[in-house]
Amino acid sequence: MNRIKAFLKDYYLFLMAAAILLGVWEWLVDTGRLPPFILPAPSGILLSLVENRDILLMHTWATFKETTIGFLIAALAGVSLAVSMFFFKSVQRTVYPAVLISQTIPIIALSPIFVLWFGYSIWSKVAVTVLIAFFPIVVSTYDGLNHHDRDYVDLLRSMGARRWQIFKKVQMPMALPSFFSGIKLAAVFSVVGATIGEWLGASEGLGYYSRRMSGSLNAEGVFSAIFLLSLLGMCFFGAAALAEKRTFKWKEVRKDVQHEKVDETQ
Amino acid sequence: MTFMMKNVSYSIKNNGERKSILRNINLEAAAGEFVSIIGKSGTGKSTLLKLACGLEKPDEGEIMIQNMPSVPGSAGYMPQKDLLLPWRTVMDNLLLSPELQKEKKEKKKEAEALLERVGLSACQEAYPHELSGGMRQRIAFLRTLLTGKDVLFLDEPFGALDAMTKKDMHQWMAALWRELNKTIVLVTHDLHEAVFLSDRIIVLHPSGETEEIMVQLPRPREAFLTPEITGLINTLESRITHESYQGIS
Repeated sequence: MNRIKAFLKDYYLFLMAAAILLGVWEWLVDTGRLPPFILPAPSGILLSLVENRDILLMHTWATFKETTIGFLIAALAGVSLAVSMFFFKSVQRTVYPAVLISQTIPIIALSPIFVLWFGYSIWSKVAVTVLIAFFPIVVSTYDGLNHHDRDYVDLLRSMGARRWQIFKKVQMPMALPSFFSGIKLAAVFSVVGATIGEWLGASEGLGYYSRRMSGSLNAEGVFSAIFLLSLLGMCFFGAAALAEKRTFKWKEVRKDVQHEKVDETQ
Repeated sequence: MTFMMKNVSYSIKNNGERKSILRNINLEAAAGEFVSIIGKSGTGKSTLLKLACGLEKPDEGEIMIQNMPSVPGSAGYMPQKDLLLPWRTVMDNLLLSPELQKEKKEKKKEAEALLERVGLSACQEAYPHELSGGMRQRIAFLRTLLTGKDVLFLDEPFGALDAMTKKDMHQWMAALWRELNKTIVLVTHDLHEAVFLSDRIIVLHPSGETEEIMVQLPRPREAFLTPEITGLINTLESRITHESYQGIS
């Protein structure tokens, strides 16, 4: 109960604004001020969601798969690259400029190549996802690793710690806040990546579905796909945020612990 | 000698120019001795400690700890900031050094006993952010003890504490040191701290010269300013400032 209360306290303004917006939107369409093929009413979108739930579920699952696989590959590759750049300056000098330059290439321009390589299989979509999610993970992890406190490194060195131990005990934990910022961004971008990949060549997925619906001027269908995509993005973000919260559990204020009261002068 | 520095010089490279930080330093500390090093800021006190525990290499001279050249891991080192790892509990922070040496299990009992001895058993499972500044500093000192080394280098360990807490820490430290039989080299710019804790005080001048002052006051020492303590503090102050007048003229 308390959690619901806390949630309402944080978000009631947003919820109210959303309700008003939806209300006005519904009213505009219902009263005929906006034609439904331009902007379908929220109730229409909801109806379309319910009616096509089986086929939408299948497409959502396809997008979910592409996003997850792409995100995991990006995370694994991104962290590995960031760590090796951190350990070996020569790797950083060789690869980092290339990683930066790769971001200036429009992904859309690249995707025909992916279709060429991977065909219409899931991997062309995964490739686009990886390309999009990779960058924020590399940059945030590498930055995080570089922003450790030198004093801690000296302290561990004075204890006779080896390079790898210093990395494990101090540099890695200190990189986590920045790492998670990158992960949260990448989680959201992954959904975008999978959708772009589907637009350019796919036989399933919400991106493919929304394009097909747009082709047949089914505004409700397009909007329900958009709704599900944003829901998917929120889920991925939520999962990343949850992982972050669990990692930083030690930061939470514990009410039952009152060490502060241990007498200072003893 | 348990700790010895012989003809040690150190310089850093700054924009291609060599800047000398320490010149021809000679120091030593006997087993179980408490030595303080004082001096104006900028005389390279902290650098001296980093050299002593092997974190930096001197340009010239030798540094020996228990008749072996000093390398990282030869001695305990406690910097000014407590540097407790915020994501570790007090106990896990204490066991950091044993963990690196792969003897965490063996040292757990010792850590518990130490906490018990200083009355901090209650905060074994607390995180550093749940403790006050004085307590964090105590834990940081215990962590230095748990390196198991006989020689400890302390770099202004109480510098960031408020005056009252600092005074408590001095008494706490003095009492603990008397039971421990450790050699401690303390860098500080607090003259009262130096007089209250040390057997011997070394004044480090910007020129690199050193001066020694013995503190022959019986222990345990008075926490408040007795005429003897005040006298020593005045002597120290004149020695430090005298040098700076010379510098101006």
